[in-house]
Amino acid sequence: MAPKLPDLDQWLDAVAPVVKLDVAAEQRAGVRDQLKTAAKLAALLEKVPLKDETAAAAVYRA
Amino acid sequence: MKSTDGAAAIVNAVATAQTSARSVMVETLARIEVNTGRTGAFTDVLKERAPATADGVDADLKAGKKLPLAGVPFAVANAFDLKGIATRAGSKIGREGLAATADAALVTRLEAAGAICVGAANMDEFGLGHTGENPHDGAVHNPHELAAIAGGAPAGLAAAIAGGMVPVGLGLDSDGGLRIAASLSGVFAIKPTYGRLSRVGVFPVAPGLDGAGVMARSVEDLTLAYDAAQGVDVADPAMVKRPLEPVSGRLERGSAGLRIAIADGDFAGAGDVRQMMDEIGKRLEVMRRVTIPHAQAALAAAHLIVMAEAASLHAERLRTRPADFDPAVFDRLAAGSLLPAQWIERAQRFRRMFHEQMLALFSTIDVILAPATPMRAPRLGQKSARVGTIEVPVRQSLNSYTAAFSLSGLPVAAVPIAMEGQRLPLGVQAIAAPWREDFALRIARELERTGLAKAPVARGFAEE
Repeated sequence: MAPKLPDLDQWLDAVAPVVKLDVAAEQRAGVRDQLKTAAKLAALLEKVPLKDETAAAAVYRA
Repeated sequence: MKSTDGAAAIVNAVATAQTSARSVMVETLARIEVNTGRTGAFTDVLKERAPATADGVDADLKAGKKLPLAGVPFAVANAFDLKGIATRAGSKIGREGLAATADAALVTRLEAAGAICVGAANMDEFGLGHTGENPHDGAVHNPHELAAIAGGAPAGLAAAIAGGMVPVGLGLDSDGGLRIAASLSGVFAIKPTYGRLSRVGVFPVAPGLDGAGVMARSVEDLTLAYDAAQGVDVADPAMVKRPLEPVSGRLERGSAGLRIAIADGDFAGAGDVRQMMDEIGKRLEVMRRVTIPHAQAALAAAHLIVMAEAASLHAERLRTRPADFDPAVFDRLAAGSLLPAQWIERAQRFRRMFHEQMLALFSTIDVILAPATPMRAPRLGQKSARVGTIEVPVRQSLNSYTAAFSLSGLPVAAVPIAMEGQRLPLGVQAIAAPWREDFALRIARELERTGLAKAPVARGFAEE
């Protein structure tokens, strides 16, 4: 089943001012598409179970 | 002696005084002058500096100095600092900045070995793309088929090498750029283990994934340059202190004694790609198949991390100069600025788990083989392509097979495969455990020895 996506316009309008980002009208559709893709990918990641003790690997060390 | 000859041949000829580094350089600059117009490969050519550096190499050789890359011309993606030139990183904003005050560390390292930097190559804006269609500097054309893309981000570098303008070059690989460009343009590349080569003086894409790497037209040349590029650089916070581990002397062992498996499932490929993998399996007598765990989630995590890290890097520029970005890059970065922290944190936690699972696979396997791209080079401007029975978007699909291995920071050799009757090549990845670049390069050499892998100068470029 496809993940339920958030309201992308609402998201954009709420968060862009917080990070002081001005998204011009002609760029709105493109940004929204990218958010949609990101939301789908995040939903995919949510399906992978992680142990509580799995720490982030923000800086990789082999 | 010409730049269409390989690096090893040039070193041999220059070091034994059959020709001079200056003579090679004069011919190289002439070839770049003729060919860069039809490929869009170069954005900056070092017309004065390169001959002067060549004279220095000739003088050093006369003085008895040993130089493993004596007289070898090389190019860099224009994200690499070159003293006196503003570092574009494919952007309009970058070129308006101050000129670099020093060369990138790897440029210095290769030149200390006798190689000569001839210029900077065209690339996707800020390294965020895989097609090499740069709106500021023009699109890069694939030397094997000028109507096709050269791949990217380091598209110009791949075109310069495939077009015989230089035998080797340096680029950056974040979620697959170096390998994608190598695959679509038909050249070899090595993306070493994350933390192996210095990134000092290279404009980043996404620092948590970025790794500097090398491209060339033969495994011998690739390895010569890779060996010369090694060495600890304390100025790079990601650098892992390792001893020098040169590979040149180990190449001829080929696949002997290596446990090889072919990735299946999400990496099985379709059509030509699957056929290529079958052929490689036959030639190398690989019976074993392996499933990469959570491959789609790994691709998702890499995508989210690149979005977030790149957005953070460009936050100020997104606010102050939004109109100066490639619109497609702006969209991705702006969206990356708005992602919830929870998603990125989860992607990073997943990354840790995925890395551990990949290390477990390498306890019983030495090298995993997987396709480099799901398709041959699409046409310039092409938005979608057929993969098997499915139509997929070109830009978003080209890193389908590369990003997971970036997420785990593994060393990967990209190997160009020329198939009968096809002008455009495909590529295969040889993926090894951390710090086993030698294994990946030995498989590349074995494939080269069988005749399946080759990286000839493109037709129409070789004979000029």
